Amino acid sequence: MCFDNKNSYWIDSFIKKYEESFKKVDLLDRKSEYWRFASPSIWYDNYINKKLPSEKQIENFSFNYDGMTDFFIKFKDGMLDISSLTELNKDEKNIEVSSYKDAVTNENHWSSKKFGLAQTNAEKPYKRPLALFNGLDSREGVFIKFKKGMRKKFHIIYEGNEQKKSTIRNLFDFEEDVDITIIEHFYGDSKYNIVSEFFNDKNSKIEHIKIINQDITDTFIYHLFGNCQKNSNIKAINFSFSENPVRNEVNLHLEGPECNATVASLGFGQKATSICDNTVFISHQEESSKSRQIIKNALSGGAKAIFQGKIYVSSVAQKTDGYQMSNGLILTDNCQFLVKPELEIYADDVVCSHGSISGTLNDDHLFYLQSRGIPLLEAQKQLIQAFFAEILNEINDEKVINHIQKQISIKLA
Amino acid sequence: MSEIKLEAKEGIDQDTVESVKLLGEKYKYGFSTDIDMDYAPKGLSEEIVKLISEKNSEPIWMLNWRLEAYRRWIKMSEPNWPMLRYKNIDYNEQYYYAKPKSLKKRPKSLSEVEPALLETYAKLGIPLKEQEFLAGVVGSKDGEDRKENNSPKVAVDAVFDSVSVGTTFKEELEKLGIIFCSISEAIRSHPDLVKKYIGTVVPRTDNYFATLNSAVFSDGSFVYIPEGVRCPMELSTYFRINAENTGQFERTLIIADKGSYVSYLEGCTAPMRDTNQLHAAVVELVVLDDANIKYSTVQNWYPGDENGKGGIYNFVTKRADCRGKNSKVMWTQIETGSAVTWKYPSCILRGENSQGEFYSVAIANNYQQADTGTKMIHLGKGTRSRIVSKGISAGKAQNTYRGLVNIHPKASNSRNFTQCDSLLIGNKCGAHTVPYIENKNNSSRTEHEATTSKIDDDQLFYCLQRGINEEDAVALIINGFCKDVLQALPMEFALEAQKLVAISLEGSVG
Repeated sequence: MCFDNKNSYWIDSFIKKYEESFKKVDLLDRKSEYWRFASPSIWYDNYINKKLPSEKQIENFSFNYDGMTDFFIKFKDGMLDISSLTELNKDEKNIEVSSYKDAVTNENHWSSKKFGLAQTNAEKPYKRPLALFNGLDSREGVFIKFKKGMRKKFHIIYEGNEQKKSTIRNLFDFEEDVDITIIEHFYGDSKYNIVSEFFNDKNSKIEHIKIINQDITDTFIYHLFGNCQKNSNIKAINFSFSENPVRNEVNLHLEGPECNATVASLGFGQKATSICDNTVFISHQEESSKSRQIIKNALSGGAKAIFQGKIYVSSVAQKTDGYQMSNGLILTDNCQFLVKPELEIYADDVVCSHGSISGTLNDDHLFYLQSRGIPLLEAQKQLIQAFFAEILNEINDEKVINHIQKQISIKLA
Repeated sequence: MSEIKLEAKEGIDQDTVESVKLLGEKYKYGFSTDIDMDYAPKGLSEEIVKLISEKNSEPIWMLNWRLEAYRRWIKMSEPNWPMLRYKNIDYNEQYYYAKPKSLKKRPKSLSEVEPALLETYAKLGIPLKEQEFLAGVVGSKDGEDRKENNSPKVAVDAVFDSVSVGTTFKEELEKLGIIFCSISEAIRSHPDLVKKYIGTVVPRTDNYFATLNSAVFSDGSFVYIPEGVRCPMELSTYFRINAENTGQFERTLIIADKGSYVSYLEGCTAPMRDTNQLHAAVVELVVLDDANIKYSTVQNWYPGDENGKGGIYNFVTKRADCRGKNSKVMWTQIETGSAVTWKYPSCILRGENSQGEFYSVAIANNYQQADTGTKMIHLGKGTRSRIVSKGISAGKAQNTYRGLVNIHPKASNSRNFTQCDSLLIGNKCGAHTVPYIENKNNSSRTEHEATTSKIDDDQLFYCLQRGINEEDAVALIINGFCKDVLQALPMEFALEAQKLVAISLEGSVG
């Protein structure tokens, strides 16, 4: 599926590899544990054949960007807005930015040494067919190298108006000692399939926030593949308000010792079409790393939440501290909370634990609030907001917190 | 030993590591008995299925039932999802039926019983008085002597390779209407009951090993507790594999009618042999309104030697169907033996307010592998389940907990609590947890917690600074780790189980 003669040799060889792997994968293998709770056809068949019914949204879900001096990168209907890179390119000392097209046509581009590595790490034990498909289909994306010691906040905005596919492939290379926050916003009428590879060098500190807004009219799938080196710190936080199927795959390969990884996800679905699927795999390859997974889903109106999480500890990864928590708040009938929190441990000096609780609002809590004069509906709202508070505590940015709280209150209204 | 010394971790006493290693070496049931056996030809075919049926003098409906299972089985493939690695099993290299020749005719007195058979029971630690019953002596006075001794009564059904050798206390139980006999006998004498319930909990088509069992099961136990009867003694089955290259396929069916209660125990051992032997059993429990079944297992099949040679492949399907309101099932298992364990005792909580409990300790040492857990399927309203699973891995063993909790959309006000803890001793073993939790009802609640760790340094330090030596301290902590499960066992088994668990601490704890 070579789309352009100008393509560099390295990207062609990758595409070829993906093509072969994709052919071998039985995408609709119902027995695959990888698709245990949700069929791949939700994301794949629809991808080609059907469109989910879109609904006119009345509320304004957009983020309040006023007065912000952060960097912005924009995608519209799956196309990169090149002009949004201009501002970034001015700061050449600290950053190297290329569009996907520029990178893959350059035989000696810096990304050629990294591209695909994090995804390859993530292919065991499952091939992740939709990421392979992304590799075949993507034509757009940004490749950014953050140079040593850089500290900055970025927003990447994805918008859609024309019911087009947004198949986007990003690559972020974080050098030593960087402190970067990337906030990705997804809006509108588009079908998203995003793959982002993260390469976190020593002592880097990365915060990645993803906000999937309510006006998303189609399916959404995001693969985050991360390779983490010594003492790096990564936080990947997902907020999903979509009423359509969302699959959030995070695969972190903690290659160096003393890494710290947090994966958090907040999902709020209110319709039967809503599926919030978090598939998280954290692999501890070296000593003394820490990882945390916190998943919170509130469900009503027949919505479905899925969590497949795994902590893998290799036999050399002593002193690992791994934690998984998945909570489901089931508010009405016909909702489903399906979880599979796995531990696979080959080292003995470790502390790994997981917990999972699902149920409805606690009657005692409701009674307490009501006895204080708070009406039932208001009490329920407060308890739902309190349920989500743990995830919001993970972030420091006031604007983001306000935005998320606004989204929650729109849903609760 | 020097290699082991290097592996000993800080905070764990050397002796502990060594005594854990000795688990395999100290397998004291590893002797074999030289008895003339009557074998069916090696391999599996429709002819063999017919032969087994014929040997058991089964009615035609049973034969057809078996043949249908066989025909289904040949089309199935072995499951590959468990975290187990073992050599491919050649199903045609097994004997599917082996019976001591001396049992062709039922012996009338002890003197007629082959001495080697008696000796086997003596060595296994089954009391002399019981030996008479186990050897199938007709007309012994059940119970009377025991009453004088005031010792707790346990009725035993002993299965030796493919056949039930004998069942004790049958008469006394019959007075209460309780049927306790081998399943082959039940098929002959209570065909209506068997026909009504067999295969209704674990269908013939359920899974590869259950289907195989349905085709070739040779014996097992059958229990029927009539309405309102509380079984006055523990019922027990003792399984023994003796013959080489012989698979054991037993089928147990227990029916607890309305308002009844029974506590059933199961124990198993096998000789030490270099070849792997197959054991594929099916256990079906039917629990009607207000009935209560307590099912306990101490599984101590030969686990193989310290190099992973030999041992039993243990593939067991156990399931309880709580059909009635307020019915209750409690599975307790101590899994210390077998080279490979594949076992998921499950509960289908169909009746309103029915209750399922699962308590398990799984110890894997040397090259043992265990993939075990439970399924709790909540279908009825107000159903409750509780899972407590403790896994201990040592040596190069792999221990996996795999469990399912499924709450059906109509199972309102249901509850589940799951706790699974794993303990690792040494850095060459693995402990894995694979829980599936599926809650589809908004008034139901599931809680799950799991931990994996080594022996806690703080706990150890606390014991040490109280003057307890390291060895005793580790013993104390491991005992505490398994306490929840050991407490759930009936008295008769608790001691044996405690001993088994404490093998890891042999020489250090009483």
